[in-house]
Amino acid sequence: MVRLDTGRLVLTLHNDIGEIAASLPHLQAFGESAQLGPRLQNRMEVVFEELVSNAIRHGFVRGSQQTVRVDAAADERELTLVFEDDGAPFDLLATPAPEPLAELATAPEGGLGVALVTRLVSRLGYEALAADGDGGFHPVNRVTAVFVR
Amino acid sequence: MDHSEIDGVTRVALEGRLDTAGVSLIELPFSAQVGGGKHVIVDLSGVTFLASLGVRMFISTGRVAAARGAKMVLCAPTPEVAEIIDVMGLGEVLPVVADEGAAFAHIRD
Repeated sequence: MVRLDTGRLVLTLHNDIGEIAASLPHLQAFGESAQLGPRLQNRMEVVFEELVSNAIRHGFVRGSQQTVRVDAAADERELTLVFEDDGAPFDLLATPAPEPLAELATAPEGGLGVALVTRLVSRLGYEALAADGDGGFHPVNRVTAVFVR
Repeated sequence: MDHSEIDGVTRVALEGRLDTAGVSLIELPFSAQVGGGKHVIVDLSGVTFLASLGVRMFISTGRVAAARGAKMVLCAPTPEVAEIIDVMGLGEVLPVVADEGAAFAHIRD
């Protein structure tokens, strides 16, 4: 499901990594309408890729009907992306930051996605949500990423 | 992915998006090229997007090359890809240069 209004985009992605690529034209149309420019557009797409792929690959049960909803909004000062998913609870802010890359022999290969997101955004927030209620989409994780323009 | 050999150096030109889907497609053939034991120049001029899985692929393949006594040099990143390389500090563990000429010079150093 896609909803694009002036300065706002809402995407609903299901448990399929291919939905990331299918979302790109919508992100690009949103970026053009919000006049993000190539640098901020790239930062937005990287953070989108990292957080959605993280939810699907690590938070979802394989073959399940779980969902990520992304709400993007831009004004003249900030771009804000809100990611909500109903996967396993995961507080990315509680993840220890990997050591800075220093030597090839000891460079970490894990935790790079969270490190990348943390370094690209101006502010990052996490909320654990109550996953109660019947039917419908009941997210348990909410991540808010803010970019100052 | 396009590859060739020039003066005993393997040149690999990558294209497109190095995201989850893109890396899953090229990781095996790219690793095979890098693992041949020859110095490798990786031309990034056709790469339009780099995410963490791409960074991880360069770290792991660079490590394989180094273990075989070969250098792996990344060259000609676009501005958007260069920003991700800088933010991640990838240049601290692998040489990243502006163009292919500089990459050959680095290998011959």
